[in-house]
Amino acid sequence: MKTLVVEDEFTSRILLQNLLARFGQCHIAVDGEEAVEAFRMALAGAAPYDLICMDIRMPKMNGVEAANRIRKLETEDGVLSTNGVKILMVTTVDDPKDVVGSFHALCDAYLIKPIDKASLLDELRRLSLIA
Amino acid sequence: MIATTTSPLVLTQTADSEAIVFDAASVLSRLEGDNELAQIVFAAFLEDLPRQIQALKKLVADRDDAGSARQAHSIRGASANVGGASLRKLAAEMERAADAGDWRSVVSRMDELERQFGLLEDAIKRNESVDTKP
Repeated sequence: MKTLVVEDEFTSRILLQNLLARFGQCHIAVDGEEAVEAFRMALAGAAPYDLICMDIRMPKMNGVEAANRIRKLETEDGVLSTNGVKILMVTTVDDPKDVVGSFHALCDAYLIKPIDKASLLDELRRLSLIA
Repeated sequence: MIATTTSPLVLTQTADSEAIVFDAASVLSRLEGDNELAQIVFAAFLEDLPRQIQALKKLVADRDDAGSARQAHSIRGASANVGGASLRKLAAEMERAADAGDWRSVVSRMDELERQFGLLEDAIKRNESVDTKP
């Protein structure tokens, strides 16, 4: 499983990286812009990510905008929606409902901070990313 | 060995209620008892949070509402990861206030944010010292 963790906050990044690197390559981006660029390069290099684990509120470009652009890159590249990268959005319980609602069509799952290892692994199994 | 059996909760008295400064047991529970990873996360938090607080102070001084809200959001997320309930609650209040452009509320909580971080830092370090006992 090749993963891109997109998180501007250091502690969450360290935690997610430690949890996900156990399952394969795990790259880091610190904002939405960097995530879109990393995704574009991986797609161009024919080594796309299997999972993007992304915070919703970040500087430069937020998670919803980044997910939009990533799905657009996939469409332009001819990637079928069923074969697209799995996007797991990380949010918090009191994020505004309109923000939370806006990513449902773009993402495959979401997690609520603080990160819970069992919930994360359950989602990865549900998405058939790990056994 | 799980260190937190000896110090599961550290409490503080705040203006409105008694709040949990540090709930180490909840962190270990979320990490399925992985104490090694918990210590990595605590160390990352203690290294990074002072920088985040300084960044928030500058954004508040610059009256950058979007930036302040985002920075408070980061402090909230980081605090939640280490079981820092009172710091998380305070950062969430500052995030909401900054989002609403309520500068009076944001500024009035800045000193308390630093105080709560100090309490959390002490509690985490005490927990570490328990953990390293033979």
